[in-house]
Amino acid sequence: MMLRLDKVVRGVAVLLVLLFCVFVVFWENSEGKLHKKQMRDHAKVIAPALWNLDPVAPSPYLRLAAAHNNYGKITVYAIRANEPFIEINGPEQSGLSKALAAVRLIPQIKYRTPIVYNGKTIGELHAVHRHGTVYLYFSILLFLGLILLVVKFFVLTLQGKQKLEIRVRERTKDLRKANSYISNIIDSMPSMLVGVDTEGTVTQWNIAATNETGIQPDKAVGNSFENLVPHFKDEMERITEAIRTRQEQTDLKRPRRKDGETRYEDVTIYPLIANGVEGAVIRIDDMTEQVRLEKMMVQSEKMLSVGGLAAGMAHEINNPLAGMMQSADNLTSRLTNMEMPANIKAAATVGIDMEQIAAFMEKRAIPRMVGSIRESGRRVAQIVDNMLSFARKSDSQVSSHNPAELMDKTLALAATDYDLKKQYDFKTICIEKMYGPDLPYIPCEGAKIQQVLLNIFRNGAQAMQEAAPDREHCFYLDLSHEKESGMVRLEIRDNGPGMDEETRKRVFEPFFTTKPVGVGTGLGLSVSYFIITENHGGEMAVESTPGAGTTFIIRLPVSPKKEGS
Amino acid sequence: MKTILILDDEFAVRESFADYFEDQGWEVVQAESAEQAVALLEQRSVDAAVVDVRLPGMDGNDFIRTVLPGVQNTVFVICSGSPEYSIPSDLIDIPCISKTLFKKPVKQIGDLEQEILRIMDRMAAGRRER
Repeated sequence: MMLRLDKVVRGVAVLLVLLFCVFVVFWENSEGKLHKKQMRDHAKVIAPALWNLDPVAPSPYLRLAAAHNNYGKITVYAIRANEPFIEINGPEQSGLSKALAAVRLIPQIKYRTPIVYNGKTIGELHAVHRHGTVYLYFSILLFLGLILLVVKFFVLTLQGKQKLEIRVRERTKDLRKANSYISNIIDSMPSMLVGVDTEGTVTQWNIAATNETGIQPDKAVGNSFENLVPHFKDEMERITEAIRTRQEQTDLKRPRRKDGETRYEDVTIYPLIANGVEGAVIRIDDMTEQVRLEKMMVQSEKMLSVGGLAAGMAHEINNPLAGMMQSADNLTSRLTNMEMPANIKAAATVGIDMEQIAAFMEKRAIPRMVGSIRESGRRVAQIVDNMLSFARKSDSQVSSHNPAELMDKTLALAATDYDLKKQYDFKTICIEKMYGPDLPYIPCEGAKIQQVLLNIFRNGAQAMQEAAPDREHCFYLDLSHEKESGMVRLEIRDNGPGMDEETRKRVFEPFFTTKPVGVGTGLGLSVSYFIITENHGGEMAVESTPGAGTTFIIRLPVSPKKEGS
Repeated sequence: MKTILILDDEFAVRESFADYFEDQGWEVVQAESAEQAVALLEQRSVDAAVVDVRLPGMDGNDFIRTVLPGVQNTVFVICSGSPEYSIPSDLIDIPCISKTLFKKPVKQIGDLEQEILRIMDRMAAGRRER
């Protein structure tokens, strides 16, 4: 574009020079012709006077002609005469013309024309023409130069404009690139980042903010922050404070209710301290998960200390419990077993019939009472046992386990574990196994993973049989190897009642339970979650829709993670 | 008559085992410490012994280790109320010692008795083969 404009100027210049040359040639030619014709006219006028040898009469005419045609000198010669008949000098030349004439810029051109009278040549008219076209040419050249200058100037302006435009375009592009890069960085932040000016008007709104609030950046920017996020109304003071004092303001684990649950946010307000910029950046991080985990860890620690205590106490409790329960068993057999020789012998010794004893016992509900002792003792034993499950961290031993084997062992455990409790018989639940091929061994604490699986089975079995005791209950077990992420996925799906959103979100919370008071501790799943995520560096999630069953998904790393125990 | 030694420091526990085995027609001898039981086994032999682990003085494991060379056909069953206990590796593979650890409270003493009888039968069969 720039090159072309340069060529245009050069082309115009060449064209103008050519035109000028053509003009000069044409002009010189026509000037010559004109002057020759004029000389002939002059000759005609003065011919009679020469014939009559009257030098006075033509003089005024010749003077006029010299002045008019810019002749330096006009001379009339009679034929064959050496002396001029009439000689008239032209008007005095100006200083400039004289100077120009001296450097031959105004050439002196001589014209000669014969003077003819009645068909006879009677003399000759000589004239020296001061050829002043240089003025004309000079004017034209000046004019052309001016035109060229104007064109040049125009082109320069145009070029400058173009250059400017290109630079502006480049800079805009750079700016846009830089801008999008910065936006990208800001949008990549997991935190909600909001820029505000001193008035609290939003100047920056990243994707996390859009995701959190559902407000698009173009709707947010330019609006007041407190209107956009009403629950931050009381943070406005902090923002003002941060900008005024140029000090960062933080508010950690700020609780707020959202969709019926408490969420925790860390709010940090950074004042913008660059010169000429007034405002602040508000950073909001959702800490709910972390708070939840912290609570769970505290809970888990608590349970561990409870467990430690329980381990020490278990022996002390189990011994008297053994005395009590084993004696109760003996009591039952001695009072009710009518075939036992020792019983029959003892009865005979005191002279009573075994039937009578049995009848008396029945009448006084002694077997029921002994049954109560046994049942109560059994519950004490179970409580001690449950408490101990938290204590068994110390003997943590990671070894390689086949996930399918772990699952099968747990199923066997569940089957035997549950015929103790007649409420729900695990053996009636159908199990559908979908074990993927080539499942890799996983490094884990087998007993702990079994504890987690058992817990899920226990909860599932209970939920299914409580919700619909008569239908067929199933567990669908899906084990697969996720090669890309290097995880083994254990999926346990049931066809139970499922759970609502509120419950689903809270199942891993410590002490959250849907079971009646006294039935569950509400710790099972939170401890399970802890075992999977903290002890094994895995993941545990739950998916559920009311009426459509529940799916627990456990993902365990195939290669051991450093943070795992 | 089959004889059984009940070694447990807790009176009620010892009695409950004793009562059961007496009812089942066993001759029962009792000891409340390992030392007492060692002395007792020097006097006489028994077919089986139910051994508690945590005892004042010598514990149940050491008791078995002490008397094992001197007894011929005695079946040992270890019974503990301690949740962390497991049968030591040097004892677990000895044929006359039950591999099953019975945790107190024993839910069915009948199971324990069956275990004893099973090992007694096995050992008797082994002797006949030899």
